[in-house]
Amino acid sequence: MKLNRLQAPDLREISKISTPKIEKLSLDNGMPLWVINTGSQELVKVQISIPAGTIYQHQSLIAFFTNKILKEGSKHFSASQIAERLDFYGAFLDTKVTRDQAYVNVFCLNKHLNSVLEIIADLLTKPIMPQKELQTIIEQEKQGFAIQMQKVKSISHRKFNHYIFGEKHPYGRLAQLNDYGQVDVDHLKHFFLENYQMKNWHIFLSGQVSKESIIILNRHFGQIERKGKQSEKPIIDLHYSYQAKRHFIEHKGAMQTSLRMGKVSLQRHHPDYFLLSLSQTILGGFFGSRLMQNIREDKGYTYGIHSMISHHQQAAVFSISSELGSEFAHKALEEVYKEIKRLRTEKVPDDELSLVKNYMAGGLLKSLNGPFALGEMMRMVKEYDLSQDHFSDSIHAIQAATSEDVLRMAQKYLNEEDMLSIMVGNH
Amino acid sequence: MIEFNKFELKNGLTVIVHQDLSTPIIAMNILYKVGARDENPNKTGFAHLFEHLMFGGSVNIPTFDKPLEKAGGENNAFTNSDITNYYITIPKENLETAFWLESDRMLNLAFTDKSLEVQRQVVIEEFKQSYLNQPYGDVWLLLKPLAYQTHPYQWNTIGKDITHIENAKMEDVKSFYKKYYHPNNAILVLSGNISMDEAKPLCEKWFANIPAGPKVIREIPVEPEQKEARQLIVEREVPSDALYITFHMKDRLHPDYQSTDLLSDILSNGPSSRLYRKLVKEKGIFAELDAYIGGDIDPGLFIFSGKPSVGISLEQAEQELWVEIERIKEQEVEEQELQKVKNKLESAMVFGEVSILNKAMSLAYYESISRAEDLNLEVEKYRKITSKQLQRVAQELFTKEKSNTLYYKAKKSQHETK
Repeated sequence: MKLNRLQAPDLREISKISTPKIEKLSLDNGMPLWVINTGSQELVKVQISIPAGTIYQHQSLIAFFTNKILKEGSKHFSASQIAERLDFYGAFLDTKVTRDQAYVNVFCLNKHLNSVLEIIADLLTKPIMPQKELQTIIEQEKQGFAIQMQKVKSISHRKFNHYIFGEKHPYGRLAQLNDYGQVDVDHLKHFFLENYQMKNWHIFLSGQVSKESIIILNRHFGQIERKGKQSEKPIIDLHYSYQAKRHFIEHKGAMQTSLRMGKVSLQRHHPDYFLLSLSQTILGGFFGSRLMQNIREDKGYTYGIHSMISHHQQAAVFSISSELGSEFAHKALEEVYKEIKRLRTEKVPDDELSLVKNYMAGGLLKSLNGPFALGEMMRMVKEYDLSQDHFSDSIHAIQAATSEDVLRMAQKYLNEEDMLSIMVGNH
Repeated sequence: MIEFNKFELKNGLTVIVHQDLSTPIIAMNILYKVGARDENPNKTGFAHLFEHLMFGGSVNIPTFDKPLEKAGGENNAFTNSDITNYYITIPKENLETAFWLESDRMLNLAFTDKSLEVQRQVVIEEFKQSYLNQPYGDVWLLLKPLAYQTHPYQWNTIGKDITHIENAKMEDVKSFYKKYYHPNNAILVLSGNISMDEAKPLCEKWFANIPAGPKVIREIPVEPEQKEARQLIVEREVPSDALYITFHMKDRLHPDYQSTDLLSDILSNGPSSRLYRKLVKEKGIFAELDAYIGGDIDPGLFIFSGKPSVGISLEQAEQELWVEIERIKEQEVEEQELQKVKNKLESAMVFGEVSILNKAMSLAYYESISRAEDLNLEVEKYRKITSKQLQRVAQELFTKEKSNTLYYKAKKSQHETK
């Protein structure tokens, strides 16, 4: 039979995704440990999550540097010993701070898990926080910050945040250059005592997990008494007072104009969230989206334009971002507004809707697989207070969506007249 | 160890199949043996521009991305000096769509004028975004022609000059495709939830009737040995100075390649590495400092790149860096330190095997430089390296007379305080 290249092969709709179950355990001292056993390699990711994000700080940069200085020396290991040993065991240590949480992530081969966790436990419970090392880190970060501040992308991102939440708001405030000079070891020690109590930790373990792995976790994290008070989330004011305006900020010499626009949006647990997620994906959430197809593929105004919903624990924001050729920036902005309006005034054609559904289903299938991705999924289930099946369930809501649903979502939650836009560039 | 099977179709297409049953996905990777080094010096940036055009529709299928998205798949591609690599990840049940799409664009592209116009514009924007509109963005536009005076590595994948892309003509683009984009110049890798019994018939069905193309004969001018140190000083609107030093190293298949790689690890891989501990942490000479190799197939570069801390001049930073470089030449690396970097390397390999896409790319890459089987022999090459070997390689590599140094100076602003 002759091959017919004009005929697309038959497609199967992806309608179900199964993920391994999250095992919820407690260590001897009551420490919560969530586990997913998965993957073909003998390694694990250990993620320790602590409510010590920037919303808990009373001074700029304190949460960040407290988290960063942990590996600069602890009671039983100097900074160079920590670095040396982790490298010797082929382990990777990654620390990170968001608005809500502070994280210490360790990627480790199972054969070295015991030796590695001995070090991690020490630096998380008995860090030394040397002033000299702090100074060096501050200088480095400050230099990195100065470079970032020259990029139009950073400027537009910061301005957007400031406008949406407010410059003093726990979700809106951002560090300035001269904040770096105000950070002192005493601030960090105080913040550590207040916020890094074991009482409030949560540990996520994913990869090839055995009974032995749990014993090791228990040995290093399950024996210390979990003192301290239960952490209270700061009350975040969720009254928004930004206006739907277009702001143009001059940045001389910029060859591109950075666009950042959007509005406050729905959190993951909201009943409309899956449908909104589908709708925003159609608009700008993947390469075949309306924004990409119009502004990049049709007009060549940009190398990339995307929309997304980003999440804090108590708020979510919808945003569109792009770096546009300066000479096209204003035209591009008009096209963006046009596309957003189109989504809320015209029903999405069936074939486009079905394409995006299948694309999202495929993406979900890919992202709910493997030790690292599943570790992330577990963490989100906990931090956003979701059901275990939240992510695998999303596929049902998405596959069942109609074009009326999308229209409704766009009208209710993606009205361009409610959005704030910032353009930073050479005008 | 990555287990796989390999076979070749009659038209010369090499196919590699690696089964991994822990995932519901399959990665399809197609590597074409063409990169920026194959370009005409007056028409650079073509391999990369071409990568963009590959998404503009093929002879039987008007768009590449849409049918793939409909099948729940994702895709991307990259170009470098040596290869152009395309990859798809797709749920197993819709694998045949990937075959349909990739085979059609290997058969023939649509070559529409609109596609060329739009992608030309997109690439120009990419040029600006990556190289011109970022602080330190143009560093490689300066470093490459400084180190290479003859070999095509002297220009970047994006192109020597933006005008080459601006002036690209359809005939040039078509002849580039004819020369390089055929089955006997390509390697197809399938990695994930797939067996040989499933793969072979699909490969025969979709790829077997694509005609073979002319054999690619490379006549790339060899870079003559560098005899003298070279220096370049530039000033830019950036917040801090930056220092770059490059050295010519051996080609990818040379027995010294792995030693050169380990040298870069000892110097700069991980928080316990020498440059980081000595020059960043202890002495505070650099705010950031890196040593790495380029990974090119033809003789590439060993690169040092760093930003001096505030108050340290480029001259002082360079001097301090040379002290560390001399140290690794004069003193043999101790056993513990050597073992450490070998451990790190092995660990990185294990972590690398988590991703089926990563495995697919590695298999394709090794097949393109020698044979895929060599991927599994690589670790042993590193294990065997001795301190004496490292010292010899360091002494040959890091000579001042063969260095290429770039001082990237921050323009002094009027408000700078002394």
